[in-house]
Amino acid sequence: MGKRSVVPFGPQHPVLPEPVHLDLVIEDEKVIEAIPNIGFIHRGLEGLTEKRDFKQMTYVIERTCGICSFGHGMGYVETLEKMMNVEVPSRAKYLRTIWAEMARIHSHLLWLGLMADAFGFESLFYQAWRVRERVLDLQEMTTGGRIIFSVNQLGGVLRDIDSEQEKVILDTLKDVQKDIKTIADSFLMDYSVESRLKGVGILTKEQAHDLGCCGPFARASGLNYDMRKLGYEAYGELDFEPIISREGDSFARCECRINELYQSIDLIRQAFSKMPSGDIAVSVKGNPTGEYFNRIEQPRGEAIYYIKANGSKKLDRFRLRTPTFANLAGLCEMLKNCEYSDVGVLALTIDPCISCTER
Amino acid sequence: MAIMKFAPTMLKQLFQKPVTTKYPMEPIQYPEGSRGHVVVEIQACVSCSLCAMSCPCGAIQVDRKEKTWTINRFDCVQCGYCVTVCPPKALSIVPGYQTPGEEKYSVTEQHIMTEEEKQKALEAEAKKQAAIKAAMEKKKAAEAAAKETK
Amino acid sequence: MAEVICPENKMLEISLDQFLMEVMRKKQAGLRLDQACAAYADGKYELSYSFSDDDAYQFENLRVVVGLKEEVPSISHIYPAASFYENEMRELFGVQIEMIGIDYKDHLYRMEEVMPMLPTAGKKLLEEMETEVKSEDTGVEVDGGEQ
Repeated sequence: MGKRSVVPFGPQHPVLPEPVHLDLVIEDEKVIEAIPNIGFIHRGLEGLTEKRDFKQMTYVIERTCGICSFGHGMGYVETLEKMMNVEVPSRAKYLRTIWAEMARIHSHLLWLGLMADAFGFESLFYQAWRVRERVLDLQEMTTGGRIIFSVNQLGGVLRDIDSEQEKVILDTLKDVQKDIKTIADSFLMDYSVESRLKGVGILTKEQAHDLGCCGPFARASGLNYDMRKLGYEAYGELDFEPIISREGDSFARCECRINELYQSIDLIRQAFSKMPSGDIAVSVKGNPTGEYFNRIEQPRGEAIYYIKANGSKKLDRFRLRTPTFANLAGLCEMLKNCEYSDVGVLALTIDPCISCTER
Repeated sequence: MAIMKFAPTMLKQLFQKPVTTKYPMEPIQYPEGSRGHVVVEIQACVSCSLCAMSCPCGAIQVDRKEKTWTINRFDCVQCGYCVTVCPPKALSIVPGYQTPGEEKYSVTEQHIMTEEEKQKALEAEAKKQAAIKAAMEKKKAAEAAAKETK
Repeated sequence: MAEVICPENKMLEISLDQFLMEVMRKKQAGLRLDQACAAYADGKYELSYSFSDDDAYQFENLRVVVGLKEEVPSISHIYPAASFYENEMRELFGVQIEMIGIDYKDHLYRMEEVMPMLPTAGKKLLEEMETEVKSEDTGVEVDGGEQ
């Protein structure tokens, strides 16, 4: 039996987008155990509900994370609307769906760039982010902000997309789709990428289910669920199926996310073709009471929003369970019996968003 | 042959001008609805201070007596909530970000009262004084009546 | 039109002695642990454990109301992923959870303040309970304690 040593991974590491610390127990280049240590970006956002009223909290919750920001704002506002029985106009639902899918595209392109950078494939990193810049330009044109949209309000949305902007969006998405195909093919069909990703970091379906994993991480291991099937916002009227894979290794996870890119572009086209005209918001009076659990599908997985209110302007309790918090346990299981040099690449296949994990 | 695949790109590169933008010599063109900073139309402001109460960061201060409106642009996160709640719609959010600096500072705008507003303020003050006087006299009369009945 | 499955959320309120049994039942049924959180209300902690059935997209909650100093057993031996949620509940609210699988011993988040999310009313109650226990131990009457 070889000698065991403990090697710290992070919080400063070129591969990680956000600081997380993993204590790796290593025996002769093989990782035996990994213990995560978080808490570098804890800002106590859930505790701010004592000081800000529930309408101001929309803007605070949106700024939990820069990558998944629209999803957080949308989930929070949706939970309040379900508690107060507010009927959001149909056009607002479609607009929210379009923005959510655009956020998914930009998040997956960011992940693809970081994944390539973890390999050392830097030219794919900047090509993927160059394509992402076109999506960010669309977002700035329609909402005013590149990644933090601030366009959700209780009862609807604040801005509309007119027909001219719609034409620009659909034209840009055609070019974006062509570029994504070129990039994705050069990533997935490359011999060195395949040899580094296939068969590495396998998580079986039973393990993924027992550890409570969610999102593309779980779907790549064969679990068939996608919270968009719940039919919130306009997803009930769009046609799509969850993208799953059977292998459960890192290559399957990469494939799942890339196929989700194509699926998101298709969903935006469907939404534009079915979007009705009408109001974009209803006015809401009064304060929320009671409690409610709401689930939506963020780019990284299933996010749960829990609000408990007592009829005053300030909420009693707000709880946000983000997908990476649930996937951390899966990461630690997956790192067992992998090589030490694979740790950086495997940590990126779960698409970690640490600022979401510790709000 | 590999060189034939690359030839069109190579020829294009010979005659294309560089794609680098000459920022900051050429200023950036922000799209129309971009959220850069908050501006106030101070003559339309009525100093209700709803914007100061609703700002999630506490970047706005309003002095009702002096009729000033102060914003610390370095604290503002450009969320646009103040624009939504302002009753006379005096606030708007326009493109262009605050340039970095060595220290945080605030910007104050002063509302200048027009003749009409000054007149209205004087009338309102006179009404208020008259109402207070009438209430005092009523109270005195009630006390005097109570003494008499005793 | 795509198929939409959106059943209503279920909530079951149970007492602390039925807690472990209900969690084992959920494990037997093959449900996945979704989240666990704590809230403070009127001098008690309200713990919510959520499980979800992924074939039917059904979301079920277990609600356990415990006092401020009651000991709660950990479910991390049944569901290993629960360690993180329980460490967070213990550190932010002060819920006394015992026998957690990976125990961070209050060092999960790097914070100066102890139990930051427990409101001041709850902290006062905790202090009063401590002084009551001390006065019982020493057998001396302490003025200002809980009458």
